Amino acid sequence: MAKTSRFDSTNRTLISLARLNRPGGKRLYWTVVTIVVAAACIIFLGPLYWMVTGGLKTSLEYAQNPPTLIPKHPSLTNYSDAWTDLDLGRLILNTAFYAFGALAFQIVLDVTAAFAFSKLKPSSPGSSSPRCSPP
Amino acid sequence: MAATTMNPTVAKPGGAQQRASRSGGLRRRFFDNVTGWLFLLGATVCFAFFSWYPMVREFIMSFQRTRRGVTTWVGWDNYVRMWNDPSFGQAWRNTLEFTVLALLLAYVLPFFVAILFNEFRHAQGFLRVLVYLPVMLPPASALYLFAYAYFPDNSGIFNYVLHSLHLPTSQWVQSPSMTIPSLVLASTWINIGGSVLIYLAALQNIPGELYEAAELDGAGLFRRIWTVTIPQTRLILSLMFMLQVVATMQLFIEPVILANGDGVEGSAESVVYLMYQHAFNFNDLNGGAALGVMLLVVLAGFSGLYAWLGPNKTKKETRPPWRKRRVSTPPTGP
Repeated sequence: MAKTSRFDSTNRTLISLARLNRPGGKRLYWTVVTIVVAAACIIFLGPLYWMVTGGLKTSLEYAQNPPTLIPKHPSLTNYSDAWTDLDLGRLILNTAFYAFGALAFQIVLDVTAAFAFSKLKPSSPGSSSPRCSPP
Repeated sequence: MAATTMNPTVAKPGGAQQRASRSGGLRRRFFDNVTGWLFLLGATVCFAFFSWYPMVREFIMSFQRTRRGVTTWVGWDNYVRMWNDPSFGQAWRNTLEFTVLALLLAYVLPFFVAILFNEFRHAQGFLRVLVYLPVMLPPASALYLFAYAYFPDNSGIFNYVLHSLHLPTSQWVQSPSMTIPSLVLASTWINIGGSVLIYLAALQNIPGELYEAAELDGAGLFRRIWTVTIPQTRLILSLMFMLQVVATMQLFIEPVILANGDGVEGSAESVVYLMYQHAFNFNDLNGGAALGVMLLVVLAGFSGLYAWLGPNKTKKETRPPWRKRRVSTPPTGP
Protein backbone atom coordinates (compact mmCIF):
# COMPACT_ATOMS: atom_id res chain seq x y z
CA MET A 1 0.00 0.00 0.00
CA ALA A 2 1.44 3.31 -1.05
CA LYS A 3 -0.84 5.70 0.76
CA THR A 4 -0.29 4.42 4.26
CA SER A 5 0.88 7.82 5.45
CA ARG A 6 -2.57 8.62 6.84
CA PHE A 7 -2.19 5.84 9.35
CA ASP A 8 1.45 6.02 10.30
CA SER A 9 2.54 6.31 13.91
CA THR A 10 1.37 9.94 14.13
CA ASN A 11 -2.10 9.34 12.79
CA ARG A 12 -2.68 5.80 13.96
CA THR A 13 -5.56 4.86 16.18
CA LEU A 14 -6.05 2.16 18.78
CA ILE A 15 -4.95 -0.64 16.46
CA SER A 16 -1.82 -0.24 14.38
CA LEU A 17 -1.76 -0.67 10.63
CA ALA A 18 0.92 -3.32 10.89
CA ARG A 19 -1.40 -5.46 12.96
CA LEU A 20 -4.28 -4.90 10.54
CA ASN A 21 -2.13 -5.87 7.57
CA ARG A 22 -1.40 -9.33 8.89
CA PRO A 23 -3.52 -11.94 7.10
CA GLY A 24 -5.56 -12.76 10.18
CA GLY A 25 -5.96 -9.11 11.06
CA LYS A 26 -7.28 -8.29 7.64
CA ARG A 27 -9.85 -11.03 7.75
CA LEU A 28 -11.01 -10.04 11.21
CA TYR A 29 -11.18 -6.36 10.21
CA TRP A 30 -13.40 -7.01 7.20
CA THR A 31 -15.63 -9.35 9.18
CA VAL A 32 -16.16 -6.69 11.84
CA VAL A 33 -16.76 -3.94 9.26
CA THR A 34 -19.33 -6.07 7.44
CA ILE A 35 -21.16 -7.02 10.62
CA VAL A 36 -21.21 -3.45 11.94
CA VAL A 37 -22.39 -1.94 8.65
CA ALA A 38 -25.13 -4.57 8.33
CA ALA A 39 -26.24 -4.07 11.94
CA ALA A 40 -26.22 -0.28 11.58
CA CYS A 41 -28.30 -0.54 8.41
CA ILE A 42 -30.90 -2.68 10.18
CA ILE A 43 -30.97 -0.56 13.33
CA PHE A 44 -30.90 2.92 11.83
CA LEU A 45 -32.18 2.51 8.29
CA GLY A 46 -34.71 -0.25 9.06
CA PRO A 47 -37.21 1.89 11.00
CA LEU A 48 -36.98 4.63 8.38
CA TYR A 49 -37.59 2.10 5.62
CA TRP A 50 -40.56 0.76 7.54
CA MET A 51 -41.94 4.27 7.96
CA VAL A 52 -41.58 5.20 4.29
CA THR A 53 -42.98 1.90 2.99
CA GLY A 54 -45.73 2.04 5.62
CA GLY A 55 -46.90 5.20 3.91
CA LEU A 56 -47.09 3.32 0.60
CA LYS A 57 -49.31 0.56 1.98
CA THR A 58 -53.06 0.50 2.43
CA SER A 59 -54.15 0.73 6.06
CA LEU A 60 -55.31 -2.92 5.86
CA GLU A 61 -51.88 -4.06 4.74
CA TYR A 62 -50.19 -1.81 7.28
CA ALA A 63 -52.04 -3.42 10.22
CA GLN A 64 -51.51 -6.91 8.81
CA ASN A 65 -49.72 -9.52 10.89
CA PRO A 66 -47.15 -10.71 9.90
CA PRO A 67 -46.13 -7.42 8.26
CA THR A 68 -45.11 -7.37 4.62
CA LEU A 69 -41.56 -6.30 3.90
CA ILE A 70 -42.33 -4.84 0.48
CA PRO A 71 -45.71 -3.13 -0.14
CA LYS A 72 -47.87 -5.28 -2.41
CA HIS A 73 -49.52 -2.44 -4.29
CA PRO A 74 -47.46 0.64 -3.55
CA SER A 75 -49.41 3.84 -4.04
CA LEU A 76 -48.84 7.42 -3.08
CA THR A 77 -52.47 8.06 -2.08
CA ASN A 78 -51.61 8.19 1.63
CA TYR A 79 -49.09 10.93 0.99
CA SER A 80 -51.47 12.94 -1.20
CA ASP A 81 -54.33 12.41 1.29
CA ALA A 82 -52.18 13.64 4.15
CA TRP A 83 -51.13 16.62 2.07
CA THR A 84 -54.72 17.68 1.33
CA ASP A 85 -56.53 16.54 4.51
CA LEU A 86 -54.07 17.98 6.99
CA ASP A 87 -53.23 21.00 4.87
CA LEU A 88 -49.57 20.03 5.08
CA GLY A 89 -48.48 22.75 2.66
CA ARG A 90 -49.75 25.39 5.05
CA LEU A 91 -48.04 23.67 8.02
CA ILE A 92 -44.72 23.46 6.22
CA LEU A 93 -45.02 27.12 5.27
CA ASN A 94 -45.73 28.00 8.92
CA THR A 95 -42.73 26.00 10.07
CA ALA A 96 -40.48 27.64 7.50
CA PHE A 97 -41.78 31.07 8.48
CA TYR A 98 -41.10 30.31 12.13
CA ALA A 99 -37.64 28.88 11.47
CA PHE A 100 -36.42 31.67 9.21
CA GLY A 101 -38.03 34.36 11.34
CA ALA A 102 -36.25 33.04 14.43
CA LEU A 103 -33.03 32.76 12.45
CA ALA A 104 -33.28 36.39 11.28
CA PHE A 105 -33.83 37.66 14.83
CA GLN A 106 -31.08 35.45 16.18
CA ILE A 107 -28.53 36.62 13.63
CA VAL A 108 -29.22 40.29 14.28
CA LEU A 109 -29.39 40.06 18.09
CA ASP A 110 -26.62 37.50 18.58
CA VAL A 111 -24.14 39.12 16.23
CA THR A 112 -24.58 42.55 17.79
CA ALA A 113 -24.29 41.08 21.30
CA ALA A 114 -21.24 39.03 20.37
CA PHE A 115 -19.62 42.08 18.77
CA ALA A 116 -20.30 44.09 21.89
CA PHE A 117 -18.77 41.43 24.11
CA SER A 118 -15.71 40.70 22.02
CA LYS A 119 -14.81 44.11 20.57
CA LEU A 120 -16.63 46.98 22.26
CA LYS A 121 -16.41 45.58 25.80
CA PRO A 122 -18.72 48.06 27.44
CA SER A 123 -17.90 48.60 31.07
CA SER A 124 -19.07 50.85 33.79
CA PRO A 125 -16.27 53.20 34.90
CA GLY A 126 -15.47 51.15 37.96
CA SER A 127 -15.08 47.66 36.57
CA SER A 128 -12.43 46.40 34.21
CA SER A 129 -14.40 43.74 32.37
CA PRO A 130 -18.07 43.09 31.61
CA ARG A 131 -19.57 40.87 34.25
CA CYS A 132 -23.02 40.42 32.80
CA SER A 133 -22.67 37.51 30.42
CA PRO A 134 -26.00 35.91 29.52
CA PRO A 135 -26.22 32.20 30.37
CA MET B 1 -30.69 51.58 15.83
CA ALA B 2 -27.15 51.72 17.10
CA ALA B 3 -25.72 52.21 13.66
CA THR B 4 -25.82 55.99 13.99
CA THR B 5 -23.32 55.92 16.82
CA MET B 6 -20.99 53.64 14.92
CA ASN B 7 -17.76 55.48 14.16
CA PRO B 8 -14.40 54.24 12.87
CA THR B 9 -12.74 54.25 16.27
CA VAL B 10 -15.35 51.93 17.70
CA ALA B 11 -14.50 49.05 15.44
CA LYS B 12 -10.87 49.01 16.51
CA PRO B 13 -9.94 46.25 18.90
CA GLY B 14 -8.88 47.03 22.39
CA GLY B 15 -12.05 47.69 24.34
CA ALA B 16 -13.68 50.82 25.62
CA GLN B 17 -11.73 50.90 28.82
CA GLN B 18 -8.37 50.92 27.14
CA ARG B 19 -9.36 53.50 24.57
CA ALA B 20 -10.91 55.72 27.20
CA SER B 21 -7.79 55.70 29.26
CA ARG B 22 -5.70 56.41 26.21
CA SER B 23 -7.68 59.32 24.86
CA GLY B 24 -9.07 60.45 28.17
CA GLY B 25 -12.25 62.43 28.27
CA LEU B 26 -15.34 61.44 30.16
CA ARG B 27 -17.58 62.24 27.20
CA ARG B 28 -15.73 59.96 24.85
CA ARG B 29 -15.70 57.14 27.36
CA PHE B 30 -19.44 57.53 27.84
CA PHE B 31 -20.21 57.37 24.13
CA ASP B 32 -17.96 54.36 23.54
CA ASN B 33 -19.76 52.56 26.30
CA VAL B 34 -23.16 53.61 25.02
CA THR B 35 -22.48 51.96 21.68
CA GLY B 36 -21.49 48.77 23.46
CA TRP B 37 -24.55 48.76 25.66
CA LEU B 38 -26.85 49.52 22.72
CA PHE B 39 -25.40 46.57 20.83
CA LEU B 40 -26.17 44.40 23.84
CA LEU B 41 -29.65 45.81 24.28
CA GLY B 42 -31.50 43.49 21.88
CA ALA B 43 -30.11 40.28 23.30
CA THR B 44 -30.54 41.51 26.86
CA VAL B 45 -34.19 42.41 26.31
CA CYS B 46 -34.83 39.00 24.74
CA PHE B 47 -33.15 37.21 27.63
CA ALA B 48 -34.98 39.32 30.17
CA PHE B 49 -38.40 38.70 28.68
CA PHE B 50 -38.12 35.07 27.64
CA SER B 51 -35.59 33.68 30.08
CA TRP B 52 -35.07 35.67 33.26
CA TYR B 53 -38.60 37.02 33.75
CA PRO B 54 -40.26 33.57 33.56
CA MET B 55 -37.68 32.16 35.98
CA VAL B 56 -38.29 34.90 38.54
CA ARG B 57 -42.04 34.64 37.98
CA GLU B 58 -41.97 30.88 38.53
CA PHE B 59 -40.04 31.36 41.75
CA ILE B 60 -42.54 33.94 42.99
CA MET B 61 -45.51 31.83 41.92
CA SER B 62 -44.23 28.84 43.84
CA PHE B 63 -44.87 30.79 47.06
CA GLN B 64 -48.35 31.95 46.05
CA ARG B 65 -51.71 30.32 45.62
CA THR B 66 -54.34 31.53 43.18
CA ARG B 67 -57.91 30.50 43.91
CA ARG B 68 -60.82 31.97 41.93
CA GLY B 69 -58.66 34.81 40.72
CA VAL B 70 -57.46 35.77 44.20
CA THR B 71 -53.73 35.42 44.77
CA THR B 72 -52.40 35.02 48.29
CA TRP B 73 -48.95 34.35 49.72
CA VAL B 74 -48.83 30.88 51.22
CA GLY B 75 -45.17 30.43 52.12
CA TRP B 76 -43.87 26.88 51.71
CA ASP B 77 -47.38 25.43 51.39
CA ASN B 78 -46.99 24.53 47.68
CA TYR B 79 -43.75 22.69 48.37
CA VAL B 80 -45.32 20.73 51.22
CA ARG B 81 -48.32 19.93 49.03
CA MET B 82 -46.08 18.68 46.22
CA TRP B 83 -43.99 16.66 48.65
CA ASN B 84 -47.15 14.91 49.87
CA ASP B 85 -48.51 14.35 46.36
CA PRO B 86 -49.10 10.60 45.93
CA SER B 87 -47.18 10.59 42.64
CA PHE B 88 -44.24 12.63 43.94
CA GLY B 89 -42.02 9.75 45.06
CA GLN B 90 -42.90 7.63 42.05
CA ALA B 91 -42.10 10.50 39.68
CA TRP B 92 -38.65 11.09 41.17
CA ARG B 93 -37.89 7.35 41.29
CA ASN B 94 -38.89 6.94 37.63
CA THR B 95 -36.87 9.97 36.59
CA LEU B 96 -33.80 8.71 38.45
CA GLU B 97 -34.22 5.21 37.00
CA PHE B 98 -34.44 6.71 33.53
CA THR B 99 -31.37 8.85 34.16
CA VAL B 100 -29.26 5.95 35.43
CA LEU B 101 -30.32 3.58 32.64
CA ALA B 102 -29.80 6.32 30.06
CA LEU B 103 -26.30 6.88 31.44
CA LEU B 104 -25.47 3.23 30.83
CA LEU B 105 -27.07 3.03 27.41
CA ALA B 106 -26.91 6.53 25.92
CA TYR B 107 -23.67 7.70 27.52
CA VAL B 108 -21.36 4.69 27.77
CA LEU B 109 -22.51 2.82 24.67
CA PRO B 110 -21.90 5.69 22.19
CA PHE B 111 -18.34 5.99 23.50
CA PHE B 112 -17.54 2.41 22.56
CA VAL B 113 -19.42 2.76 19.27
CA ALA B 114 -17.25 5.79 18.53
CA ILE B 115 -14.07 3.88 19.45
CA LEU B 116 -15.14 1.10 17.07
CA PHE B 117 -16.00 3.50 14.24
CA ASN B 118 -12.72 5.32 14.72
CA GLU B 119 -10.83 2.11 13.92
CA PHE B 120 -12.58 1.71 10.59
CA ARG B 121 -10.62 2.69 7.50
CA HIS B 122 -13.67 2.13 5.35
CA ALA B 123 -17.34 3.12 5.44
CA GLN B 124 -16.75 5.53 8.31
CA GLY B 125 -18.59 8.40 6.61
CA PHE B 126 -21.49 6.14 5.74
CA LEU B 127 -21.76 4.90 9.31
CA ARG B 128 -21.67 8.45 10.63
CA VAL B 129 -24.58 9.44 8.40
CA LEU B 130 -26.53 6.32 9.43
CA VAL B 131 -26.04 6.95 13.13
CA TYR B 132 -27.04 10.58 12.79
CA LEU B 133 -30.24 9.91 10.78
CA PRO B 134 -32.54 9.50 13.84
CA VAL B 135 -31.36 12.84 15.23
CA MET B 136 -32.67 14.52 12.09
CA LEU B 137 -36.04 12.81 12.44
CA PRO B 138 -38.42 14.92 14.54
CA PRO B 139 -38.50 13.30 18.02
CA ALA B 140 -42.29 13.09 18.03
CA SER B 141 -42.44 11.06 14.81
CA ALA B 142 -39.56 8.86 15.92
CA LEU B 143 -41.44 8.14 19.15
CA TYR B 144 -44.64 7.29 17.27
CA LEU B 145 -42.54 4.85 15.29
CA PHE B 146 -41.56 3.21 18.58
CA ALA B 147 -45.16 3.33 19.80
CA TYR B 148 -46.09 1.08 16.86
CA ALA B 149 -43.04 -1.10 17.34
CA TYR B 150 -43.89 -1.60 21.03
CA PHE B 151 -47.40 -3.01 20.41
CA PRO B 152 -47.90 -6.07 22.63
CA ASP B 153 -49.00 -9.56 21.49
CA ASN B 154 -46.91 -9.95 18.33
CA SER B 155 -48.53 -7.17 16.34
CA GLY B 156 -45.64 -4.85 17.19
CA ILE B 157 -42.48 -5.33 15.15
CA PHE B 158 -40.32 -5.99 18.24
CA ASN B 159 -42.52 -8.74 19.56
CA TYR B 160 -42.93 -10.14 16.06
CA VAL B 161 -39.15 -10.43 15.62
CA LEU B 162 -38.63 -11.78 19.14
CA HIS B 163 -41.39 -14.31 18.61
CA SER B 164 -40.05 -15.52 15.29
CA LEU B 165 -36.61 -15.96 16.89
CA HIS B 166 -38.30 -17.96 19.70
CA LEU B 167 -37.16 -15.43 22.28
CA PRO B 168 -39.38 -14.30 25.16
CA THR B 169 -41.58 -11.39 24.14
CA SER B 170 -42.38 -8.39 26.30
CA GLN B 171 -45.35 -6.18 27.01
CA TRP B 172 -43.05 -3.14 26.64
CA VAL B 173 -44.84 0.03 27.74
CA GLN B 174 -47.89 -1.97 28.85
CA SER B 175 -46.00 -3.63 31.69
CA PRO B 176 -44.95 -1.45 34.63
CA SER B 177 -41.52 -3.04 35.01
CA MET B 178 -40.57 -2.64 31.34
CA THR B 179 -41.89 0.90 30.86
CA ILE B 180 -38.78 2.86 31.81
CA PRO B 181 -36.36 0.54 29.94
CA SER B 182 -38.57 0.90 26.85
CA LEU B 183 -38.42 4.67 27.12
CA VAL B 184 -34.63 4.51 27.52
CA LEU B 185 -34.35 2.30 24.43
CA ALA B 186 -36.36 4.73 22.31
CA SER B 187 -34.51 7.75 23.66
CA THR B 188 -31.16 6.09 23.03
CA TRP B 189 -32.01 5.32 19.43
CA ILE B 190 -33.03 8.93 18.89
CA ASN B 191 -30.07 10.59 20.60
CA ILE B 192 -27.13 8.25 19.99
CA GLY B 193 -26.02 10.01 16.79
CA GLY B 194 -25.11 13.30 18.40
CA SER B 195 -23.04 11.65 21.14
CA VAL B 196 -21.21 9.39 18.70
CA LEU B 197 -20.24 12.32 16.50
CA ILE B 198 -18.95 14.32 19.47
CA TYR B 199 -16.95 11.35 20.79
CA LEU B 200 -15.55 10.67 17.31
CA ALA B 201 -14.33 14.26 17.08
CA ALA B 202 -12.65 13.87 20.47
CA LEU B 203 -11.05 10.55 19.49
CA GLN B 204 -9.60 12.00 16.32
CA ASN B 205 -7.64 14.52 18.37
CA ILE B 206 -5.69 11.85 20.22
CA PRO B 207 -2.09 11.88 18.97
CA GLY B 208 -1.10 8.52 17.49
CA GLU B 209 2.26 8.57 19.25
CA LEU B 210 0.54 7.85 22.55
CA TYR B 211 -0.91 4.60 21.21
CA GLU B 212 2.40 3.77 19.59
CA ALA B 213 4.29 4.32 22.82
CA ALA B 214 1.75 2.36 24.84
CA GLU B 215 1.91 -0.55 22.41
CA LEU B 216 5.71 -0.57 22.45
CA ASP B 217 5.50 -0.72 26.23
CA GLY B 218 3.43 -3.85 25.85
CA ALA B 219 -0.02 -2.46 26.58
CA GLY B 220 -2.83 -4.61 25.23
CA LEU B 221 -6.02 -3.38 23.59
CA PHE B 222 -8.02 -2.73 26.76
CA ARG B 223 -5.00 -1.33 28.54
CA ARG B 224 -4.61 1.18 25.70
CA ILE B 225 -8.28 2.18 25.96
CA TRP B 226 -7.94 2.58 29.71
CA THR B 227 -4.65 4.46 29.81
CA VAL B 228 -4.71 6.44 26.55
CA THR B 229 -8.21 6.80 25.11
CA ILE B 230 -10.14 7.58 28.29
CA PRO B 231 -7.64 10.04 29.85
CA GLN B 232 -7.25 11.82 26.52
CA THR B 233 -11.02 12.29 26.13
CA ARG B 234 -11.61 13.02 29.81
CA LEU B 235 -12.80 16.60 29.27
CA ILE B 236 -15.40 15.66 26.66
CA LEU B 237 -16.48 12.63 28.69
CA SER B 238 -17.12 14.67 31.80
CA LEU B 239 -18.85 17.46 29.91
CA MET B 240 -21.12 14.95 28.17
CA PHE B 241 -21.83 13.35 31.54
CA MET B 242 -23.18 16.60 32.90
CA LEU B 243 -25.16 17.49 29.77
CA GLN B 244 -26.58 13.97 29.69
CA VAL B 245 -27.78 14.03 33.29
CA VAL B 246 -29.30 17.50 32.96
CA ALA B 247 -31.07 16.49 29.73
CA THR B 248 -32.37 13.11 30.91
CA MET B 249 -33.67 14.43 34.21
CA GLN B 250 -36.05 16.56 32.14
CA LEU B 251 -37.73 13.47 30.73
CA PHE B 252 -41.06 14.50 29.25
CA ILE B 253 -41.83 13.80 25.60
CA GLU B 254 -41.00 10.08 25.75
CA PRO B 255 -43.62 9.18 28.41
CA VAL B 256 -46.18 11.53 26.87
CA ILE B 257 -46.06 9.86 23.46
CA LEU B 258 -45.11 6.28 24.34
CA ALA B 259 -46.86 5.72 27.65
CA ASN B 260 -49.82 8.07 27.50
CA GLY B 261 -48.17 10.40 30.01
CA ASP B 262 -48.01 8.47 33.25
CA GLY B 263 -48.07 4.92 31.93
CA VAL B 264 -49.64 1.84 33.50
CA GLU B 265 -50.00 2.35 37.26
CA GLY B 266 -47.93 5.53 37.06
CA SER B 267 -44.93 3.57 35.85
CA ALA B 268 -43.88 6.31 33.43
CA GLU B 269 -44.72 9.32 35.58
CA SER B 270 -41.76 11.72 35.39
CA VAL B 271 -41.09 14.88 37.38
CA VAL B 272 -41.64 17.17 34.41
CA TYR B 273 -44.83 15.32 33.49
CA LEU B 274 -46.12 15.67 37.04
CA MET B 275 -45.32 19.36 36.78
CA TYR B 276 -47.21 19.56 33.50
CA GLN B 277 -50.19 17.74 35.00
CA HIS B 278 -50.40 20.11 37.94
CA ALA B 279 -49.97 23.21 35.85
CA PHE B 280 -52.30 22.41 32.97
CA ASN B 281 -54.55 19.47 33.91
CA PHE B 282 -55.21 20.12 37.60
CA ASN B 283 -55.35 23.91 37.14
CA ASP B 284 -52.67 24.26 39.80
CA LEU B 285 -49.99 26.49 38.30
CA ASN B 286 -48.53 27.23 41.73
CA GLY B 287 -47.93 23.58 42.55
CA GLY B 288 -46.32 23.08 39.16
CA ALA B 289 -44.09 26.09 39.80
CA ALA B 290 -43.02 24.66 43.16
CA LEU B 291 -42.13 21.35 41.53
CA GLY B 292 -40.25 23.20 38.82
CA VAL B 293 -38.20 25.07 41.40
CA MET B 294 -37.39 21.75 43.11
CA LEU B 295 -36.13 20.26 39.85
CA LEU B 296 -34.19 23.43 39.13
CA VAL B 297 -32.52 23.26 42.55
CA VAL B 298 -31.57 19.61 42.05
CA LEU B 299 -30.15 20.21 38.56
CA ALA B 300 -28.42 23.44 39.57
CA GLY B 301 -26.94 21.64 42.56
CA PHE B 302 -25.67 18.90 40.29
CA SER B 303 -24.21 21.41 37.82
CA GLY B 304 -22.61 23.34 40.68
CA LEU B 305 -21.05 20.15 41.99
CA TYR B 306 -19.74 19.47 38.50
CA ALA B 307 -18.30 22.96 38.17
CA TRP B 308 -16.66 22.56 41.57
CA LEU B 309 -15.26 19.06 41.20
CA GLY B 310 -15.03 19.00 37.42
CA PRO B 311 -11.76 18.36 35.62
CA ASN B 312 -11.42 21.58 33.65
CA LYS B 313 -9.74 23.58 36.36
CA THR B 314 -6.28 23.80 37.80
CA LYS B 315 -5.34 21.34 40.50
CA LYS B 316 -5.46 23.86 43.31
CA GLU B 317 -9.08 24.78 42.74
CA THR B 318 -10.46 21.29 42.31
CA ARG B 319 -9.53 20.03 45.74
CA PRO B 320 -12.75 19.90 47.77
CA PRO B 321 -12.41 21.29 51.26
CA TRP B 322 -13.02 17.95 52.98
CA ARG B 323 -9.90 16.51 51.39
CA LYS B 324 -6.78 17.44 53.19
CA ARG B 325 -4.62 19.90 51.40
CA ARG B 326 -1.32 18.24 50.78
CA VAL B 327 1.35 20.49 52.16
CA SER B 328 4.09 20.59 49.62
CA THR B 329 7.43 21.26 51.18
CA PRO B 330 9.65 23.21 48.88
CA PRO B 331 13.09 21.72 48.50
CA THR B 332 15.26 23.39 51.05
CA GLY B 333 18.65 23.32 49.47
CA PRO B 334 21.69 24.73 51.08
